[in-house]
Amino acid sequence: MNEPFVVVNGLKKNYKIRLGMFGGTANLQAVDDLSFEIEEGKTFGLVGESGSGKTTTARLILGAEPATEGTVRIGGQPLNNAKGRVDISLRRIVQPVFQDPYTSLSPRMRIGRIIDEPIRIHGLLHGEKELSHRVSELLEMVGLPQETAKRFPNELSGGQRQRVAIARALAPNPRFIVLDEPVSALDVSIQAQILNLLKDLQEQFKLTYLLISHDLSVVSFMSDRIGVLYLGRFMELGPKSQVLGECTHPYTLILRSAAAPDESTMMAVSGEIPSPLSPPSGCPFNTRCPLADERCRTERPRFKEVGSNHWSACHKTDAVRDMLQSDSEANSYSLNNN
Amino acid sequence: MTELLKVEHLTTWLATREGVLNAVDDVSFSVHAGRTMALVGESGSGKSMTCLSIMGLLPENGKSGGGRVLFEGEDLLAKNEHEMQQIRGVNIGMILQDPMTALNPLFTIGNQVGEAFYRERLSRAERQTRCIEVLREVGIPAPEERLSAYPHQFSGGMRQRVAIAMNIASRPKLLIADEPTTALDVTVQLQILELLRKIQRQLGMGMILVTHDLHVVSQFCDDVAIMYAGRIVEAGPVDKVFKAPSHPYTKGLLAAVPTIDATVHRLPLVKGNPPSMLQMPDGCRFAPRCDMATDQCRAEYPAWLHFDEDRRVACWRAGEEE
Repeated sequence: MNEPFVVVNGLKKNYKIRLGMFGGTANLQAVDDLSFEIEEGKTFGLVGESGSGKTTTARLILGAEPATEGTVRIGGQPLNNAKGRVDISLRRIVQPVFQDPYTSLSPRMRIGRIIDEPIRIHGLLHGEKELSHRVSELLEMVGLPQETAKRFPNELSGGQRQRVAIARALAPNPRFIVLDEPVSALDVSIQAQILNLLKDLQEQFKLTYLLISHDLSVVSFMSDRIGVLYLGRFMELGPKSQVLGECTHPYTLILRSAAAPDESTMMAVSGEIPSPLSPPSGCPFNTRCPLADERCRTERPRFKEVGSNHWSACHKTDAVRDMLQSDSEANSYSLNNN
Repeated sequence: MTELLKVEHLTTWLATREGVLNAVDDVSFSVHAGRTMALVGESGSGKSMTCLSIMGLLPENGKSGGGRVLFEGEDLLAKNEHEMQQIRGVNIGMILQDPMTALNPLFTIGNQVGEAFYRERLSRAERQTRCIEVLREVGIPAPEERLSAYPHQFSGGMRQRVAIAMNIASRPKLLIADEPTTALDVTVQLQILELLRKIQRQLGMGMILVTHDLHVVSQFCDDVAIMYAGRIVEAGPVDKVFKAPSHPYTKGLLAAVPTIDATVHRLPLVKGNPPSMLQMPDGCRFAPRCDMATDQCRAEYPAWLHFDEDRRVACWRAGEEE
């Protein structure tokens, strides 16, 4: 049986929010019914604006928080065991890299210690000599000089720190790495270095990645499949070439034009992402969608297959396709609702 | 084209515990009325320090040690604090990266936008009308109802609109926008940039847009100056510079941006890290990271090479065939 390496099924997360002292509670649906799979050695890119539920999804898959509903299976075994806790063997093979390398490394630990901590915790190697040998090996893998092991995080630049965070993630020989905005705190030239490094490491160790980013160009550079999140739901999901090249959801089209440098394909959208405490009825995107009509405001679109393994939640997939077509023919369109 | 701001050989020093560092070094550029100039560079390249030097808002440990900042022919560096107050917020506006820090959480929006009109000694009612007008101009829906709202009741994009309203209320001639959209979501970024462009065209303002986002530069700016380690390395009209970059750093930056259309396997990149401000290399500051560097590059800072009157580059190897 060839099950994909990561299988996420019907993942949901609700938070109870207290509204002041007498306000009672409200229900915040941060993640709503997400299902996707990641094949071994591949990258799945999650893209969305702030408040779209990207980081919550990462935390659920890392087992940092229990899901309200749904299951996650990694390497053929369920993330949570019978007691609802994350199995220790899974903790080793699933490792995170976070956005901000300034806060994700302890300022009072030397780099060597930061990197070998997971090896100690999992009892993978014993003896200082073997540990320091492994640390040098890891530093070399991420392109840092050996003497880095003796330094403290504050002596390193942002890019170097992110390399340390990657070395730490690699230390216990993981098979799956969750990358939560790994380059958004870095400068352009450093960003490219880290993205290339992540690709090299993926090839070398056959790593599986879940990449989370608000930047569609970063996601498209790294990913094999892409999921577009909005208010905790997938708007579109599919292979990279189809989601970007033949997108069927207006939101994807808008993100795409925001990332494309070409002025002729610029498309502005009105408004901002609504509060997840009071999501709009019908399609979550209808308040900002230039194509929305009465049906979109009342009936939530089903997630339907629009191509091979390419899914979209929109009533107007055909209209979006036409727009894309006329765009490539005329190379210009305007979609503002004026 | 009227030359609104002319910065000549601006040099700014910062005193830190580790020593005095040269945050802005011999920076010269011009901003014309009705045009947007992009100041591009990575963190620590001196973009923000350049803007703060122009505004006379350097931190306590900072000092502009040389050069001139001519605004409509008058040197801003020679003015005292009192004189600068007549210019800041009146003739020159400044928008910061994080709108939450630019707005006072304890005062209402109407109160803060209304401050811009204090100098005109308007009546309360008149001031309120003007506030509503300017808030409508920046696209705040139902402004008359939002005057008594506090900043925390606004979303990030709306706060940035309020910050813009405060700055354009007095019809400044020059607007300095320091990373105005970095803290915002991509879809909102576009809205704010469109708004800035619309207002700029209406008022014929000159604008300095500080950014690290090259897509933004190519979409919204007319001229560009690329900064590296405190100096401008290349400058000129955006279309010319982006079409034919001639400094190796500009080339590297442009190539390192991933695009959604390209199916590249690896990004071409600039190796290494920017130098520490405290240990600036001799000669060209980019030489340690540059594949084309020669002994001359390592020994001597390159002189400006002018292609046209509006296009210049600081590189010994520029113009040579690779």
